[in-house]
Order: sequence, then structure tokens, then C-alpha cells
Amino acid sequence: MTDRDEFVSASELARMGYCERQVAFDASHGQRVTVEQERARDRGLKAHAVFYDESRRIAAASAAKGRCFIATLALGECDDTRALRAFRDLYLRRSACGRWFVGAYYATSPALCCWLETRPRAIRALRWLLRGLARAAGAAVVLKVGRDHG
Amino acid sequence: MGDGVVALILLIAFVASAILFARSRSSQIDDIERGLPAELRGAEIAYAERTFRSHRHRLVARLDRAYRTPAGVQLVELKTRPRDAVYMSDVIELSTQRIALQDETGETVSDEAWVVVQNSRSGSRRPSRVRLLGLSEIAAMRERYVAVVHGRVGRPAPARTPSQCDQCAHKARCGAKYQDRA
Repeated sequence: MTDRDEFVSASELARMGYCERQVAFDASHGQRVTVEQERARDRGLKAHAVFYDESRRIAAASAAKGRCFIATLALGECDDTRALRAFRDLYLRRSACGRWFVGAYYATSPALCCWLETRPRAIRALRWLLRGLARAAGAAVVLKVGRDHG
Repeated sequence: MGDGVVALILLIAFVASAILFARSRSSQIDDIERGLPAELRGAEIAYAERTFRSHRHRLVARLDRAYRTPAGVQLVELKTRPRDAVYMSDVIELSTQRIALQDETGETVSDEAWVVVQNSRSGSRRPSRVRLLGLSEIAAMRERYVAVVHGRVGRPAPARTPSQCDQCAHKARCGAKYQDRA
């Protein structure tokens, strides 16, 4: 295998940003670690295990959000749904109140979705309401995107 | 009763139940999202602890976490350190992750990423935004890395400050060879 074929990892390259000599010595004498570095590595591994567990729990919470009644029940996948999502990402997620609202919405929507499934009249009414909201959200998104890129 | 009235009742019922749910869950959500920047709270996790390869650029990277945002995929790297500091090595690592992820998945990855530093004593976390290096810089760095490893660089660069050498296992060897680090 030639030098050009070798895969170089992100962590190997990162060491170049710290000290090239250490990279050279590790290559010629083998990687050496001090007791303190060993301890730091253990601490890092434990912290990463916790971080990964948190990632899984956040991802599980995201999956639970899957049954969004706006997208699946009232409107389906359309421009209105996309406008509402863009509004969520561009406005709601950028403020504490907005994030609180998004969290509350995802927490309540699965239960509401089940309740709505057997009530076509309620879905119709919801569609009427959401279309109006989507129109307003779409206008706000256009305004925001225009301002950010203008 | 018209559709408008039913819609209004539904809206009120939703807001009321949302308040109750949010109150009961907010502390739990805060806990698993601690140390994250405001922009990423509540965002969708795209990848966690996954390895990506760029066959074109011969790079491999394992990322800690990546979020899907309107600006593209955003990378997050966790570091455990005694003090809240972000180094060039973090930027290089994240930049390499970006190239590997983009090449393997075809997804757009934002040129801004986050380093979350967890204090090794207190356990508290703090996010720092970093701007990533471009492909040409990482490709040049890869070439130099291979040259250093194969002994083709006469005088490799030392750590930026002598204090960085304090924890290095090669300190004595380095001092003897280069005579510029006590």
C-alpha cells in the first residue's frame, strides 16, 4: 500500500495541530502515554459513553415525535407543512419560549393524533386553522430568509 | 358549530395540555441536552458515534454527534478538559469529520461546528462555535501527516507553547534531539 492509499483518521490529523514532533516520535518509537494522559483518556471515554447515551435518548425522543399530526393527519406532506417546519427551525428553535413551545407540541401531538384519527370533522377544522397558520408562517420565513441573505 | 369554532376549541385544548406536558418534561429534557447551544436544543440528531470514510480523500472519521438543521448537518464534538479551551486540533478533527461525512452520505455539512467542553472537575459543559477548515487545507495537512509519519520531514513543528510539552511522554527524547525545549 502506498502513502496515497493510507486512510488517515481525524484524530491522527488532529494531533498534527497539537505537535508534529509527537506524531513523528510516536511513529518511530511507538505511541507512549503518561499516567496523567491515561487518566485523561479514561475520563474522556466515560464522558463519551454518557454523551452517547444522551444522544440515544434525544434520538428516541425525536422518534417519538414522528407522529406529527400536522404532517400526517391534517395536511399531509405539502408546501404548507414545509412552511410550518421552516418556521419552527428559523424562529421557534432560536428562542427559549419557542423551544419550549416546540417541546410541548411534540409532547402532546401523539396523544392528540390518536384522538383526532376517529374525528374527521375535527381534522377538517384543524386543516382550516393550520392552512391559515402555514400561510402566515410561510410569509414570515420568506421575510427571515430575505433578511438573512439580503 | 362551524369549523372555525371547533378549530378554536382544539387550539385552546392543545395549548392547555401542552403547558401541563411541558412542565412535567422540561427538567428531563434539559438534563440530556445540557451544554448544548440554544440552536441545537430540540433539533433532530442525524448521527451519533458513527464512522465515515472519504475514499476520494483517504480520510476516516468517527463523529460524536451530528444534528440536522436548516443550515445543513452540524457537527458536535465533546472534549473533557480541566479548563474551558478549544484548540486548533479540535478544528482539524471536526473539519476532517465534515469531509468524511459529506463524501460518504452526500449531505451538506455546515462549515460551522460546535465543541462542547466538559470540565473534568465539575462536569459542567460549555459549547463553543468553531469555523471549519476547507478541503484544500485538510488535504495538505493529510499529505504532511503522511510525510511526518514516514520520516520525510526534517524538522517537524513543535507544540506551540513549551507548557504543552509538560504532559508529553517524548519530552526528554525531544529535548535531546532538537535542543529547543527544556
